[in-house]
Amino acid sequence: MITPACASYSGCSLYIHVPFCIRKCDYCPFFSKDNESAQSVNLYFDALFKELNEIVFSKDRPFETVFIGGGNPGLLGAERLMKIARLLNEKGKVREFTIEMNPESLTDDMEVLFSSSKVTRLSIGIQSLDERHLKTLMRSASLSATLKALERTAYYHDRYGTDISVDLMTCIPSQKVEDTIADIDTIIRRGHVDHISLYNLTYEEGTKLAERLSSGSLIPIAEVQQREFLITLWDYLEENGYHQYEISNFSRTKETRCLHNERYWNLSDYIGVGPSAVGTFHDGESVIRRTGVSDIETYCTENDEKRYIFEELSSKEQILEYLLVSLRKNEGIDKNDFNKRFPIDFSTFFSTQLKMIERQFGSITVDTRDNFRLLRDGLLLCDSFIELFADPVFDLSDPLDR
Amino acid sequence: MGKDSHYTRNFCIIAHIDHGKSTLADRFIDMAKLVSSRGPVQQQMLDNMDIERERGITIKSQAVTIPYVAADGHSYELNLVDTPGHVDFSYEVSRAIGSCEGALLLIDASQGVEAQTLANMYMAMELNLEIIPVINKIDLPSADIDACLHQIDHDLGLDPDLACLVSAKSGLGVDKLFEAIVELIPPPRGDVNAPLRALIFDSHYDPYRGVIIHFRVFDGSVKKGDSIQLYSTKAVHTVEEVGIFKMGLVVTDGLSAGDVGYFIAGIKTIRDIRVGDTVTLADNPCTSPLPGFKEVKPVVFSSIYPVDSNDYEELQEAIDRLKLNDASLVYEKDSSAALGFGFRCGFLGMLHLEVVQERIEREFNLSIVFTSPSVQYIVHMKDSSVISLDNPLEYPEPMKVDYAEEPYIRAEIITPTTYVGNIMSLCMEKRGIQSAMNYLDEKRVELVYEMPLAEVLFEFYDRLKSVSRGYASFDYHVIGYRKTDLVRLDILVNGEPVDALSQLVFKDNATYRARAVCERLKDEIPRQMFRIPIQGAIGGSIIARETINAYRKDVTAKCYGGDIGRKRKLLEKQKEGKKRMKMVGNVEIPQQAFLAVLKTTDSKN
Ligand SMILES: Nc1nc2c(ncn2[C@@H]2O[C@H](COP(=O)(O)OP(=O)(O)O)[C@@H](O)[C@H]2O)c(=O)[nH]1
Ligand code: SF4
Ligand SMILES: [Mg+2]
Repeated sequence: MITPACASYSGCSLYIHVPFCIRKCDYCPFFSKDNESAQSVNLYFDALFKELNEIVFSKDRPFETVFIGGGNPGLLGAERLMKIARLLNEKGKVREFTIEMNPESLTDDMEVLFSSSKVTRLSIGIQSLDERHLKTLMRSASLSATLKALERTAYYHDRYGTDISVDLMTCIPSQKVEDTIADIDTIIRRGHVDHISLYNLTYEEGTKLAERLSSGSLIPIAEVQQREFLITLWDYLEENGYHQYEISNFSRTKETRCLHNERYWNLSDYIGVGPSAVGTFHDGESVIRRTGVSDIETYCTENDEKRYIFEELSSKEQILEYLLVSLRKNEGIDKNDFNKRFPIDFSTFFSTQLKMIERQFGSITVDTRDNFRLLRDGLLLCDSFIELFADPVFDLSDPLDR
Repeated sequence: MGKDSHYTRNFCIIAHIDHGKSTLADRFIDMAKLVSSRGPVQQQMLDNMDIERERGITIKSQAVTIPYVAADGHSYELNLVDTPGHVDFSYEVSRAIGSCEGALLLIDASQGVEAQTLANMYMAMELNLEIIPVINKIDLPSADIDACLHQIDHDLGLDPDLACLVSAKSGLGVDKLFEAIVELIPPPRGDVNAPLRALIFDSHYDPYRGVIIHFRVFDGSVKKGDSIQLYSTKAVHTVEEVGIFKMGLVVTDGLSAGDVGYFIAGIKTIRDIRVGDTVTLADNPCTSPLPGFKEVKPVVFSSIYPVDSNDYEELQEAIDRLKLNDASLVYEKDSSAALGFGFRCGFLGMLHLEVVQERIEREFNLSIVFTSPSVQYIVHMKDSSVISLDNPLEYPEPMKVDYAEEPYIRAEIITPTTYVGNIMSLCMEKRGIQSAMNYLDEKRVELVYEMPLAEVLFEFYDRLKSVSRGYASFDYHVIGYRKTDLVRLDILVNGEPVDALSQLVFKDNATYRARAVCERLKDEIPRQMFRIPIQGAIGGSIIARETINAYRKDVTAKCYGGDIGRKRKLLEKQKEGKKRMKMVGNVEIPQQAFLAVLKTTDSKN
């Protein structure tokens, strides 16, 4: 179990977590450190490269998709990123290779990643193009750096065919929906982006923003209003040719969707490498979740038994996760796929829920023989639908026998 | 054995609730040096159960033998039998009293004679007990000893010269009271040589030793190895141990006429014995049983369901375990479309029900839901058959019903004259018919009403307290059945009848009741994804309606690979938090809603 079984076959994806940031943003719940010493970054990279080497060595084909995220992977520098990209492309070309980066890290020397075509996709964390909102979030990038980055993405897009994606946030306190619309306009016009991840600000436990919220020094956008924001923005993106394919993801074409994320949402096998990185993969009949310990030193000095936590997912947990990700997708739940994966029949097992939904929510859902999915207004109630479907699952006894 | 019953005194303390019965019992024990005053002394030693101590009420009878050297130089054995202090348990009280020759009638010096003071005194008189009036709480600044003495003379017809003045709290006057017990209460009479005749006044279950029977020997004697017979069931058992109550059980060679103690005879469950039954010897039985035996019958019925259906078996175990120590709790399996599998239970009264509820939740850590409590009705059908039922779901089609009858009680209320008006209108609202009004003195009145039991079960007591600022006291007993106009009120949530909320009600009360229930449900059921109508209906016609508006949830943020597990755990946590919800159709009804409705039995104020 130490070396994930999936490492040795194709059709697997890889996530790499780079746990460094220039400065910690106030809303961020991810594991990352700001102000790490160059030495610490070196140690991390050595450990990472060693691990990747071992994994690649054991494989006879490239990973289907690779995603380097963080943190801010840009902080590794072009040279190290290129080293990783070369290594991972050694067994053949990776179909989709994404690097996430904050705008200020997208310097000229990064060009080689894209010109070499080793990295096919660039995801820029912009969040907002308004100084006021950037300040609320305590983002480190300045507006000018962000605009400069958009110039570069446009260039990479046009010159090397790099797929460009942007992370954008809305419902930031005191934000107006027009602010986000303006952001979208700028991004589309300047950045030549193919893909936008749009999500509303959430207040995650343990973040400074959550603290400010509970102390009352921050007034969140009211829930009803948040919903109006999203509807407006979803429509706006659609009008501009960005089609929603998951609750917070929009793509110009089917080809420019994020394949890597789609694989998460299909519960395909992937491994996660680095502190706090999560992977889920089959090991024979069982499904294993492997989670990196959120500690850089542990990652650099310990072996896999110590730096990763392994747990086996019960069928019940797998069903819950399947529902959770599927209902967020525009395509919804593929009933045949569900029935193939789990020893229960979707339509029979959820018949009470489906009947109730037909009565109460017939207009915002679609239920066909092969599919169940939420329409736009249904997606706004996604969490509630997830809860609804999850309810009978909790009462299942584990393990489920086929 | 072989000791002289001349030096034995069997007595009990009877009082209106809170007049200090348990406190006085503690003092007795302290004074008799049974309990070291240095050790950590539990408050009120005789109230064993947590709930008894918390609520300050005695639910089960207890007994203790106190050795006492009197002024005459002789050593006495004083057997104190503590009695339950609530009307729900009045039969147990009567059996406990029946095992004594004397009673201390305790009167709170600041309150004077109250309803249960009278009721208990009548009971003791019927059983020919010697009654010593005791005025308690004389340490209180508000103590009015003269008024009490006057009431003892005037209301109770007892000799005020015999009254003892005590403070159970400080112990003042208690030594004199001991002397009065020795002097005034007669030693037990009875024939040691006659066949065994003993009264069971209580029992408790010990997981290691089985049922331990508390009893009073009137005639004859009993020892280890004897074959005893229970009069009502004729069952025969071999005595394994006899003894007396000190701070625990103390084994003795045997017990004989006049003694109060316990025996163990391999009896497995409390159901096999009956409080009030007579114990005799199998091979030398007495010719007639002791008087007064009757089966206690439950008067309030309700079903208990686990909030989480998976807890059904645990609930069964909990009830079985409670039953071990509570013979008056009766139950059978029940099921409801809304709530799944549960138990239909009979209780002696609302207090009994509440105690059971609290014990299941606390001692067994289960979340449960009670359905609306009901009395037992007698329904006469048009085909002239007769059925008795307590479960609204069993109520037959109205078309087929000729008429129904409901149980009535006689209620005795004592109140300062100031509140007579308030109380009369309360009783009228509760369909009471006044049958007497006696002025006890210039300031106090005794009101006697005949009322439907269903009306007093549900919060009558609280209302009475509030309209009389706590000054009125109340006692009742069931007198029989009378014709009534009964309907079944159904509650529909989101169009589906919630059978657990159905109730049988007096027709004229139905609309009020329906509105109150709908309003309460509206407050208690959290908003959900869709609008939920809540309706009250009789047959097909809706008589009350409320609506809970829809609630829309926040959309989620991005979902990275690492988020999936986290989101799942969140979902699981959420589900955990909803455990105290019951799904009815598609609506989640919190346990609190059922409990609130249970208390919404009165709506007219
Ligand atoms: N001041 C004072 N309070 C007392 C006395 N006896 C009992 N109490 C208080 O009266 C309340 C009721 O007493 P308790 O023994 O539980 O009454 P029970 O319901 O008859 O058993 C308690 O708060 C006691 O502390 C007394 O002699 N003096
Ligand atoms: S840059 Fe990204 S990972 Fe780093 S603190 Fe900000 S939001 Fe978190
Ligand atoms: Mg008490």
